[in-house]
Amino acid sequence: MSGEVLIVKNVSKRFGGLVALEDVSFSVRGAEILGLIGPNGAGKTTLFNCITGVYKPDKGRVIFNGIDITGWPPHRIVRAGIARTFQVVKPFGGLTVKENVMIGALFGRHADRIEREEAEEKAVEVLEFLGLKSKADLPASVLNIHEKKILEMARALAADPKLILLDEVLAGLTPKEVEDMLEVIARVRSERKISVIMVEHLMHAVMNIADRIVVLNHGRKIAEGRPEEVASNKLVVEAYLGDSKLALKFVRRLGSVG
Amino acid sequence: MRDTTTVLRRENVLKRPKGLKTVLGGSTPLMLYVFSLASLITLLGSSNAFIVTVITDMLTWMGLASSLNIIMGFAGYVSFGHVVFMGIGGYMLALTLEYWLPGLASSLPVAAAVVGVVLGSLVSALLAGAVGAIVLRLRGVFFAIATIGLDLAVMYLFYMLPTLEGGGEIYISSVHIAGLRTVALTVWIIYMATILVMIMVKRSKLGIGLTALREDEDAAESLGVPTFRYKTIAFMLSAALTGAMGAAYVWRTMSVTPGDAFDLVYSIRMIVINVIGGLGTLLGPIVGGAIYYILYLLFTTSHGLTELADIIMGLLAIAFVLFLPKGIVGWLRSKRLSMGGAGVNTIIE
Repeated sequence: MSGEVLIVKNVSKRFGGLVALEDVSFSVRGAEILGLIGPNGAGKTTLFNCITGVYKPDKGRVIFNGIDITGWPPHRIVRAGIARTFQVVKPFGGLTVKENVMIGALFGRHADRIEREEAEEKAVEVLEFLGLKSKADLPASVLNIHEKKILEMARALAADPKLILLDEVLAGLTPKEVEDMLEVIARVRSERKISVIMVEHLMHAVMNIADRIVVLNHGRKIAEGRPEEVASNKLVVEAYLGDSKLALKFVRRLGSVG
Repeated sequence: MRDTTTVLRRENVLKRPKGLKTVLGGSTPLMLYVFSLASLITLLGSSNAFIVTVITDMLTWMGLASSLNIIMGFAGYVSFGHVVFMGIGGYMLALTLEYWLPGLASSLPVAAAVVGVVLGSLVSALLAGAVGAIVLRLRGVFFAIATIGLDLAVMYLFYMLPTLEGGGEIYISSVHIAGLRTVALTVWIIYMATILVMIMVKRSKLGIGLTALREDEDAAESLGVPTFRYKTIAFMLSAALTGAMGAAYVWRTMSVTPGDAFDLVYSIRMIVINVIGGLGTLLGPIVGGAIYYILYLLFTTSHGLTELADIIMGLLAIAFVLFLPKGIVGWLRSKRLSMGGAGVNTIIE
């Protein structure tokens, strides 16, 4: 574990009256896998968008490799070394799989100097690493959902990032595919020394793979720590897993009102 | 314009990543060079004024459609008011010849016209850059509407232009006009410059970035494509070329009025030509331009059909959007791909 790659410091974001993030702080170390969990609407994707420049935080700073990148446009942040995948996959359907990945390489961290041959080599290398090489020359539109998720990952990795943000890459996959994807994520960290932040709903999966977990609820960080610490945290159990007795009471009350 | 060149240099966006062969970049269709060369030889060799006029007219429309293709075909942004740049180019030429450099225009009409063409393209590019900084943040239909608004606003500004003729009209004195062949060659040079810029953009890193943002702008940005800057560069290049051709157009028609110069019908023609030929392809505007112009010529030279010409061309455009949305070149390409033959690549693509 080397020093901190990413520091998120007191980040807040509002949409009108809605508080999406309130004073969130945490950090990610080199080659670390950080799980980001929380109930729906907790602010996980908003946090991703604040880190990658899609949104500008109202307050707080985002420091990457010692550089303050708060408010930078997304393309500059990619070039600095933060890549991401989207929850809803966005392949360029009219281009081939390889071309999709080449775009990731051409505009990634080495955008200023990379040549086409290098971009193509990089694309092939990444596709091989992820086991998608056999589909390299197919149009991206014909891939199934699992392959499209891998393609998202491939485009992000082709940028040669220092940090990769994965937004629900496991969602919609079969148990076998989940297993494969987790192995890939583990290799991204161990073989490429890339730090990972993953937003995930599959609790057991993220608990297994992450070094540390950050829990958000209603835009606030309510817990942070090793998976077993977080799992036994009372606040987390209530917020994320829900208080079963309380939930039952609510349902009954709603039922009697309706 | 200086802004663009420095941006281009710093980013090296027009440098072609070496050896691109596939959809990204694409190969240059041989037919494009053959047609361009054939038209030049005809313009130089023919003594038939009708033929020279027809070819000049056709090249004008092919050039205009090609320049629109850069923003509409490559980047996927429909510039509905693109005629505004054609009109500005025309006015720059007319003002140069009649008001700013009449002396030069009388002694050396070609030199004065070149000044007008260059001014037309510079002012168009600057306007595109300034307006683009605001409207290129809009997407899809909102951008299209904003460009229509720009065209109308500029048109009414030019109605207020205090010219001798009044109402913003300018008539070009016949001593400021060069011979038919000189004008034709000017049009050919601007046409060729447009084609070459279009090819260069398509094959460059800029073109690859535009393709990505046309497919999905959020994904492109998140992969590191500087979408806003690329769109702005594409819009400025497109406007500069349209402005140059607009200037040459007025040199031929010898007059310019606000209502005519900024008539949205011209915008629609540029769009229809691209739709018929195949948006975003290199050969599309040429194939579309040829078909459009030949049909237009047929209708307007036969009795009883002249008034119907625009109606028929409009219906044709609808038919294409419904049944052949990728245009003729796009359709041929998908045919070829489905047959698995890449051998004719350089001929039709």
